[in-house]
Amino acid sequence: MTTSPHNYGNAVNSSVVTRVLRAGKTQPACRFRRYSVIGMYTDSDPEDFVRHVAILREDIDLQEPTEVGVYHMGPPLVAGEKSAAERFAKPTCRADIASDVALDTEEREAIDDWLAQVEKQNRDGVKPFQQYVVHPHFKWVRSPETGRRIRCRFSCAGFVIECYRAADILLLDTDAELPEVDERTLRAAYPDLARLENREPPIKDRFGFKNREDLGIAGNGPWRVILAGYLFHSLKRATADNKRPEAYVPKSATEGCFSG
Amino acid sequence: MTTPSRRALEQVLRDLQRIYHGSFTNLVQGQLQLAESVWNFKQGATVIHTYGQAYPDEGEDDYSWSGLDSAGRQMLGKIKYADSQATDETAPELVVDPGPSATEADAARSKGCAETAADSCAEIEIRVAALRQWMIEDPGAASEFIANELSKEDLAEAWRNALVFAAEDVPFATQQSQDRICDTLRAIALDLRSSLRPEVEQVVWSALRRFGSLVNAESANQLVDFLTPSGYVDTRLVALRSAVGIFEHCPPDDSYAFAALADRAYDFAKKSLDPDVFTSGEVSAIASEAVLALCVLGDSRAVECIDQTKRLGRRWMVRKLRERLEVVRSTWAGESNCREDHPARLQVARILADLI
Repeated sequence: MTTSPHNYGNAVNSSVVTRVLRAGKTQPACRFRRYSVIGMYTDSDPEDFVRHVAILREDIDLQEPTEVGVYHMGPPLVAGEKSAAERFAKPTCRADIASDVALDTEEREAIDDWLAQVEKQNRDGVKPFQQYVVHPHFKWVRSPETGRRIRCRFSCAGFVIECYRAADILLLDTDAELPEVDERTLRAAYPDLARLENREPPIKDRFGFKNREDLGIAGNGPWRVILAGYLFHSLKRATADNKRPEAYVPKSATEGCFSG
Repeated sequence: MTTPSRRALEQVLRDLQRIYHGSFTNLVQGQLQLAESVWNFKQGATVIHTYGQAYPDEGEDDYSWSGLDSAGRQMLGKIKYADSQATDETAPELVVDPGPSATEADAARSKGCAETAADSCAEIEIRVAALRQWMIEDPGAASEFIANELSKEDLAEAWRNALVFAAEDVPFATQQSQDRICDTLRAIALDLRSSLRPEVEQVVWSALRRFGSLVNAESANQLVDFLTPSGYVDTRLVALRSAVGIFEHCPPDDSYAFAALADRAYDFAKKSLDPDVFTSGEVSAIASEAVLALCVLGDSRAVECIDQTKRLGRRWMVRKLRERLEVVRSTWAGESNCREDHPARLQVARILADLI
């Protein structure tokens, strides 16, 4: 249910809120504003493992898990109206978790600007796994001839981290040593990776999947990669009195799970 | 035309619904499952992996299918959704029509991807698939082919667009081939800029991005054509980004040689930073790239535009410029061709000192 920015209906309009959305409307609806962070749980175990993270496209009242419009690194990338309209775009995601840290006007404008920049780097037809990278959380693709920057590859968490960084909101300390993530957790976080890497070469080529090294996760692990769940452990620290706590450093890969 | 079993039909329908109506979490999962289902139609109970794309046909309830199987054979077909409410067990709800292209696909396999890509009589979907495979197998030869093809006149639109996109994904090894593809892509972008068809936007931007990533710094003034008010496709942001990309590695020895480019960047900066005009999004992105272009070109008007940015009262704009300029300063410092007393370096240092 999308309403105009000025019509809040019966929804609670909290200034800063991070909420796990439970099925069955057991909690009152809450208004989440544009560019809130949206999380989606895995469909397997553990059930509170956050598999995907995205940015909300429009204000919306949320009460239970709902498919919502998002900007995100699916893949493919959706960073604006044009990329959302592309043939294979997936401009929605199920919101199982939502976090609204009450972005002010300056912060929203900075995100508008960042999205416009990223949108113009994008084009239809770039293979999904050539838009994607696991580690580092984002990476410039450069012209092989001149070294000039062309476009960015992101992980889903990297897209959100860099989007908020544009607004000077540092969700994670990306320079800090991250917790080690084992193979099982990596597969839970990146099920498409696990699904694709054992496929025949033509299928890998079709999706632009080269190998794990191309995605920044060479070797047998463990790997110090960012998990989507870390972002919600960071976001939930925001309060009305301290809306912008310092960059978060996750302590364990178990923080890939988030239960509120 | 093959009429599949009802069970297989239902599976494909479910897959299509997942893909196009939202319960799939991502594209990859949907496409893989759909690919396997479609091949099930053709092979009965035998599951052979395929990959490809299904997309809705314009104005119809059908879906077109284009892909390759694991043996590299091209598959094209139609997936027709006939009647979602049918209860008759015998009524086909979906029909896969491999079509005549299956024969061509077999021929394509035997000829090899290079020959198929070059076969102007083959269907464009087949040529594109073959070209993409060729780019993986022999990127050098494929890039030469792309440059040759794009230089031809009267290319079919879909083939031309595919070639432009392909040029973004393949390296051009020699200076000669780089110069040649630059000229071609620039001409295509200029030509298509005037098109009224919205779908050419992506092609123009792609051609311009690749042009900007390859063009010699000495020829950067050619970007001015994309900063003039002409045509319907808005090329300002991509062109300004290209200008910054060229000189953020090393500023020009002679700033005056790029006066035309700097003049347009200045115009855009002044207009976009006008409080009556400024909005966040594309306009703010144009404004910041225009200011950065002046900085990397070593144009003294950059200082005036930085001041105008500050007067705008947007701290995020100032912060963004500062962060980008810090990257430029650091890049130039590591560039042996960029002397320490270069006027552009000195100016960026002064601007940064003022912004901090």
